[in-house]
Amino acid sequence: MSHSVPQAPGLRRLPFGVPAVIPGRTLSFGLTLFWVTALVVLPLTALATKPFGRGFKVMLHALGDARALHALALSFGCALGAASLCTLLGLLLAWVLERVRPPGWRLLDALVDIPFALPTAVAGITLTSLYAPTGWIGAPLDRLGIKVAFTPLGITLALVFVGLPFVVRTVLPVLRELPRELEEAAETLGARPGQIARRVLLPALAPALATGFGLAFARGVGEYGSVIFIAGNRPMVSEIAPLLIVIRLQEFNYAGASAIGLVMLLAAALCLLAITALRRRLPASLGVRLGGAA
Amino acid sequence: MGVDLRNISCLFGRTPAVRDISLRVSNGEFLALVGPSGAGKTTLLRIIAGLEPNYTGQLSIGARDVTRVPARERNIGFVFQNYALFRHMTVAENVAFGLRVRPRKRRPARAAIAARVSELLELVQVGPLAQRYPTQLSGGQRQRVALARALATEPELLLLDEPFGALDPLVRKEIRTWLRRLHERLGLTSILVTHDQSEALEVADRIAVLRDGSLEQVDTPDALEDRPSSLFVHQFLGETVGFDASAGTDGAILSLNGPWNGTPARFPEPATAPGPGPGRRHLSLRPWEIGLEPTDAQGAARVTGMGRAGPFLRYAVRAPDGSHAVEVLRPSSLPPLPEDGGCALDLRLARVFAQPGADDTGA
Amino acid sequence: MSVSPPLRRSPMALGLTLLAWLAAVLFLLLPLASLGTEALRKGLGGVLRALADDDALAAIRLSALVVAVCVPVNTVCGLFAAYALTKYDFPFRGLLLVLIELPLSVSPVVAGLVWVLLFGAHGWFGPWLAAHNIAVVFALPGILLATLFVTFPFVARTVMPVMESQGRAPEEAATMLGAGFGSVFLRVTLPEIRWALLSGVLLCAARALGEFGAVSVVSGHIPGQTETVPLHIETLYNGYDTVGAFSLAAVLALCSGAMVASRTLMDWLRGRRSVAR
Repeated sequence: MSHSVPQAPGLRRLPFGVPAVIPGRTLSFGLTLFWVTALVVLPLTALATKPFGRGFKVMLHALGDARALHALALSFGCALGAASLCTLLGLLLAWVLERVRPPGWRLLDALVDIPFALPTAVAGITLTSLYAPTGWIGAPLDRLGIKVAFTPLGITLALVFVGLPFVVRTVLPVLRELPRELEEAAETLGARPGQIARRVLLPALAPALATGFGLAFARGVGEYGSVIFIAGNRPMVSEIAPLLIVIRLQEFNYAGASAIGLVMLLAAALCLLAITALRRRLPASLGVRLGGAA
Repeated sequence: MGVDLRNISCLFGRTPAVRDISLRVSNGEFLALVGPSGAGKTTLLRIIAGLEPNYTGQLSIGARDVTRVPARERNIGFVFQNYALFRHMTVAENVAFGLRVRPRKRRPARAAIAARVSELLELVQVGPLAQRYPTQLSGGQRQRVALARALATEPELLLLDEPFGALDPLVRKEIRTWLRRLHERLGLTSILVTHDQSEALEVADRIAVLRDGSLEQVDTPDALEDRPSSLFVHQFLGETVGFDASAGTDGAILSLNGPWNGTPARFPEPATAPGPGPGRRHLSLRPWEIGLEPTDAQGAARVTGMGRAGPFLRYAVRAPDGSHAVEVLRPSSLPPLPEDGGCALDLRLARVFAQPGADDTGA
Repeated sequence: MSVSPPLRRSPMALGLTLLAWLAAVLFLLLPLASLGTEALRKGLGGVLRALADDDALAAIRLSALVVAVCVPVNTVCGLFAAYALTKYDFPFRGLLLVLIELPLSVSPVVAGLVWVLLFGAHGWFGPWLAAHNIAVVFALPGILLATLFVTFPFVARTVMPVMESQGRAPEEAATMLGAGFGSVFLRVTLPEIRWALLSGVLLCAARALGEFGAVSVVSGHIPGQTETVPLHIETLYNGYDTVGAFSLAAVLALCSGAMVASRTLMDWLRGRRSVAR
């Protein structure tokens, strides 16, 4: 179908000033641009330029600081570990909820949303009391010699708590859309359970799992409220990057604070871009639910 | 209200969707825009409606130049492809919408609106469904409600975008004839977009055939069938059988080319040929327009198969060298032809076109 | 992990199901139970006493004010943004989408930090604000701005997929019938998305109510003045008033839990209804 298209006479693109068909373009655009500029673009520009305010070197120096490096490594490392654990647990919960439907699955389904419902500070103090050496879980673990609260392990567990629903809520709808016949067809073709999981289920769920992982990771890197209580906040041990930003601010070290902030902003933007790209491969109907999840 | 399009063009990005179309629709006429998908027919309809503001050229409805008039002020009734009924409103509310949103000065009284709505619902024969929601209606009923909604503001021009596309074949036929009657009764000017040529042939006074954004031919259904301006039009409007042929200096067809070369055949009068002079031609016919005459002559075509097709017998007719076959329909009232017998072709009803791609046609 | 259909009713499925329940109880149910237990350690009276405290009441009032300001602003703006993004074509649409989503993935602390950089004593507008005696950071405006930032995308994001799935046909049909912007928006667009809108508003409110990190950065932590409920919980907790902290926490959890639950219930009912059709 490749034939040359002769240019018809008088053909030209009309200027942008052509009135839109659906009324309200000027108003909705104006308001949107004002809203986005005032609340997002302006503040983020301030963040993006501040670290360089006193030169590139100062910025590098602020980041090169051992304490800052450790805090960043701790935040990213714990988020990575937590997101991985979330992905495993989330897949398990989603599969059980959708395919097994055990008695009481509705309760199980409701439980998954608890972390969405708990404000971060509430989650923080609750998890701390739970995992403290005197807590319900912390005490038995303490007797086994495992310390959770005030260690990176505690941070990771808190991040698993806040990240878990993201994975379940991303994977579950995709699994629901995935016809059971697909698995059954593989079974009739003689595939073993392991093969079905590896060759049929996981490839189909991979974009959803990756999206869920990305969401949990992004949330984990920046998480503050649910972590600071359980972290103990010892510098170089259990001090997360967001907390260090707060500390630098209290020291009036704006360049230091914004240098760390900028790194976190870039990480968030990268995660968002990756998630956006992945989301295109998910069913469109998912958008509504994810809107809630995020 | 007549519609006058002058040099209408429209670009989508850098691809022209509609190319320099000039077309006049007279008052009370029912025009169908047909063409394969991507031909620009829906774009043209949306341009007339004002839903596609990015166009050049001039557009008048009646005596009024509406080129730069926004859609909401053109007073056009538009029936969308999937009806676009408001799902949260009842049937009655849907129909009343156009009247309710008028500025207070021009808005009819509440009672007047209600009266008009029930009148319209009666007109489209869905009166008892007034309090239903669109999701509770069948496809045909939705179609009727969409039409009633479009007619509520008393437009003089009605535009319909693939109005039968989503209906099942039985309902489709019924709604089609009903729509035609309604058009006549209300004295509307209507423009309909469809990709189904049989629909257009049945409903429309005139048909505009579009191809790649350009207007190929505008004419009555009979004229399009008898005198298609191009092979494309003839092929688009129905099943065709084609033969390559050569013409002599006076324009008369002398012989068939290719595998059919030498087959005894009768050809149309020279007057039907596209321009005088020798050259290559293409003959195009409907399968039932080809006559078959038994013959023992050298190089005759062969009947190689036969089957019933409604009131016709379907013959597979093969070229002498066996390389090429065409299907011919022949009334079953005629005496059947012997299988594997020779036959001559009667192609006098053929439309003659300059051969596509031939040097001397100038096309 | 081997998960597959023949497993559905096999011993292995039972094992996986038990594992799932164990994980859910351990990670999800126990924290909730512990929250309730800690709050009720001194009985219902203890909870009520903690809530009747002046600073607690002030914090509740401030949180209510924050919700009352942020939710309408982000609802109206979010609606218009979703409308602009789905009903019109324009360049850089993708960029605008990313900008609207960005606050979701940015750390709450960063969300607070940016306002300090803009309006703090050493910020862009700091000297000017100081000269005119206007307090933004460590005062109410800062708290509002920080909450606006973190709750920014919720309404736009929940509403947009629904608007997208409906396409432009309803608005175009309304336009053809002579409707202006007011009629199109209020009578056609808004009713078609009302459930998604309600859902987005609930999310936005729950987050505005519970936001901690962002507000913590810009609040001066002055009890009774610039402390929202989550911040006051922190103060109480760090002051070893466990019952007070957990009482407030339980109330907060009940409020935002109710919002999230009603949203789930709504989705569930709506989902069933659309299946029933």
